[in-house]
Amino acid sequence: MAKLIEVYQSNIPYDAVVITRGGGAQTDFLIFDNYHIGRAVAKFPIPIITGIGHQKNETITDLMAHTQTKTPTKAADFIIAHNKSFEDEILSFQKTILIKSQQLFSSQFQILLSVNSTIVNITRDILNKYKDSLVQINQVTINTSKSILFNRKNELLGLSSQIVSKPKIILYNRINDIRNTINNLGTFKSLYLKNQRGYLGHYVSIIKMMSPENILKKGFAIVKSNNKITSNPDTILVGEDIEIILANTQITTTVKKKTKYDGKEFNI
Amino acid sequence: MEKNLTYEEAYIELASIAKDIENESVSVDVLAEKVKRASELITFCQTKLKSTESEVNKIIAQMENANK
Repeated sequence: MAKLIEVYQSNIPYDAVVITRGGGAQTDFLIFDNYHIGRAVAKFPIPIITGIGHQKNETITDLMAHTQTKTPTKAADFIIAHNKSFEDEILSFQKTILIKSQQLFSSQFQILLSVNSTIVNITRDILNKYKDSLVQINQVTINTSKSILFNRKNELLGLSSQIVSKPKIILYNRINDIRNTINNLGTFKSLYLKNQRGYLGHYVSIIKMMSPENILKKGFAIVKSNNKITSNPDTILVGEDIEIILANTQITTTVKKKTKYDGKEFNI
Repeated sequence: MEKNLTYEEAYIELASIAKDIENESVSVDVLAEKVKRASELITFCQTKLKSTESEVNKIIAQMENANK
């Protein structure tokens, strides 16, 4: 009992406690039927293995123990077998871990290889696409810029030739206009002068016809009041001396009477 | 020639002069002046085109060399 308490209080992490006792008289085993020992064995926190006496002996402690063996040798065999089994199990675990790890590594390695190859291929594809696109853009840029320059050159050439030729044409046309005008002047000069002479003659006849001399010859008279020609009878007063010019004769007379005249004799 | 004249501006002015001359809407009084201006603009445009062409050819050659 004291040993069990010592083991319990030692705080050493034992795996198990082995209680052994060689063979002997039945009375030698009475201690193992003790209630307190049996209770302590039953409630002990780590497994207790018993190997007490011979085949025939069975105590309360045996019944309360984690594992009961018949003899100390059997207890030792049990522990050795248990350890062997534990070792085998550990080794088996080790092997399994090794195999599984290798399998895992291998499969992961394969996955990595596959991912790597996919990334490489996709990257190459992308790069090729960009390269192709760049080549295309490059070609378009070259062609378009050349085409723009060519078009601009042609436009400029067109304007240049237009500007070179057209002013000459304009000047030629203007000179022709002047020549035509000169020719027209030559051609139409005589006719123009004749017409002008005709107009002049017409005006001369009108003026001659309207001259006072001709008017007087037609029987009309010029009336002068205060030595001034007048056509307003209101300025002539009764009793006033006036001059009447008829053809080539001047008559001086005195106004005797003024009468309103509304005859239509001279209305043509 | 103006300092900041661009090709486009020069070309527009040139086209306008050419149009006026084509339509014979230019008076003889300013015809010589217009033709002189047009000649200046043509020279400017030609120079600009030549320098641009030379520059573009140089760039294209560089691009082609880079692709080899």
